[in-house]
Amino acid sequence: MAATYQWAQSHGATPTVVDLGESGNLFNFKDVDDATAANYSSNPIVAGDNSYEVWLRAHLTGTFNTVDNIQFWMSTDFSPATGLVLKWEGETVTHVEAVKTESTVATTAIPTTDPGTANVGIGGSLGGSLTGAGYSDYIVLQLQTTVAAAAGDTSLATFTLQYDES
Amino acid sequence: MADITDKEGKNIKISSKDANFKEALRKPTVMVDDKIKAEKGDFSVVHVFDGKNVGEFYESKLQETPYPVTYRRSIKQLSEQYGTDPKLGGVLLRKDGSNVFNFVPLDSSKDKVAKITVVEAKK
Repeated sequence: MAATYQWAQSHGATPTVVDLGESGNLFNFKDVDDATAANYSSNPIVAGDNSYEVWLRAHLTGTFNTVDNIQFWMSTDFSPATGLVLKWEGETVTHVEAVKTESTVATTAIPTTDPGTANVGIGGSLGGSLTGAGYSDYIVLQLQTTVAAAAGDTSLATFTLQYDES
Repeated sequence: MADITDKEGKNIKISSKDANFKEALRKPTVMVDDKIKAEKGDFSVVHVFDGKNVGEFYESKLQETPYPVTYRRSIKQLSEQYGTDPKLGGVLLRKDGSNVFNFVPLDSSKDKVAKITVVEAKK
């Protein structure tokens, strides 16, 4: 048996938790705090503004002994990326409702290569291990733009999450 | 720089970017449950690795609900993370009231400034 992986997004004040799936165009950066990739064109980000924060977690289910050493990075950047900056944070334990003002949580430039060591917490610790079905700590993302950002759809950026399983 | 000598007389130093950790650990004995005040907050020593067994690990259950999480790290894993020699040991600290851990590795050094004896707490 093996662990089953899904990205989980939390949105709203309560929050509502939605399993997004394992891969594909699972979410978009938008001017609304929800958990669907579908309505990005009706909730565009005005050049110079920020997207709503996106609150993600790794959701592990199935049968496994341990899952740990979670590493997260942006494996493919937007192209072109002019006027687009992605900020992130991977050790947030408690959810707060997403904002579109400049995030005070996602404040660090996202890594663009495998960080090599855990950069996403589990249970509030980078050394934490899941020993049963559960979640990582929150990965908080925000797309921040400048007026130099081109109008229209951006390309797809790709994010990779890697973990050790035993 | 806080250079120290362990009980066997090896020259070692505390490798940490946090001066508070270095200063707090610069004493004759470091034991489990020792309290350390650092810029990042108050920490407690939860394990002391003497480096004799590189497979030695520290394990602690962090939470049972809403899902089970365990912290488990060996001196080998921790030393690799810091690029230090696991055979020289190190001190594992936990921030009080949180699940944040901080490893303070010991590293080789030629100069000796202070002495330290690394021992496990006797319970």
